[in-house]
Amino acid sequence: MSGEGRESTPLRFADFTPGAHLGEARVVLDPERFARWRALFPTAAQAQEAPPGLLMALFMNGFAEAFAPHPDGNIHAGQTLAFTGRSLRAGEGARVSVTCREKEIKRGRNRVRFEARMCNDAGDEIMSGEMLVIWAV
Amino acid sequence: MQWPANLIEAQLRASPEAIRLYAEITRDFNPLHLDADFAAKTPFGRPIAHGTLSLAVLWEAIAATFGPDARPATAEMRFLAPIVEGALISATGTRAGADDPLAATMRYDFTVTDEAGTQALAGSVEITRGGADAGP
Repeated sequence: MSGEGRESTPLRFADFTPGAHLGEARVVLDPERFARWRALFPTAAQAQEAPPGLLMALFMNGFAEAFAPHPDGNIHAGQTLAFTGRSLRAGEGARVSVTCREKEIKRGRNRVRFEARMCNDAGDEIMSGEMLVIWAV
Repeated sequence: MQWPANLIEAQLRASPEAIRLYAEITRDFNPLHLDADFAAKTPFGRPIAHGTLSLAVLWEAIAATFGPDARPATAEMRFLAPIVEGALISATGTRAGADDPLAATMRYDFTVTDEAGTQALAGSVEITRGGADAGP
């Protein structure tokens, strides 16, 4: 389930195995993303490092690309986060790796809990967290 | 330095342009956020903002309260309801415990709502203030 070489059929709830590593993806804080962030949040005009929200956006981008394709209609239901290192500067990259932590059907909904870690290009962890996703199919 | 009882409220209009910008940043082009025809067929009825766009407004509230050097250390949250396109997102928070001016970090309970007062997001965040050397 690597982010490289996507298949056309969306992953299904049945495809996930708790404990399984799902893949990883590299993300880069390119200047265009930083410019868009500053357009969205002008308070970041002078920021030299990605503010927490931009780092989170990169984290979510890596999460989505680490294993794919995701079906349309997934719902992000819960999240834990730990900011564990220095944020990224423009031009720097990081890798996001994702593991399926658990899955269950609750009140008729497919709930999958993922664990993700983001490490900078030196291999140092800068962010981690768990996402609870209501998987659509 | 005291820890204030409340975070300064931050706001963002979830305009189609804002949602589009956030989609381009995250590269999350789920039609639930961007395609009115697709969204009309969902229980939401219209496009909704990415959940983490709402969360980004909380980070703005933290920066407004403590300055740009403050950082969240840890956070946990539940996404309770969608923010529909066009809504005004507001984020604020309340100190979870007694003030301790010597504490390096402090926990705040937070909510993110739309202008109708519907809670879109709720949780708690541990904040570290100061420069980069004060990080987790």
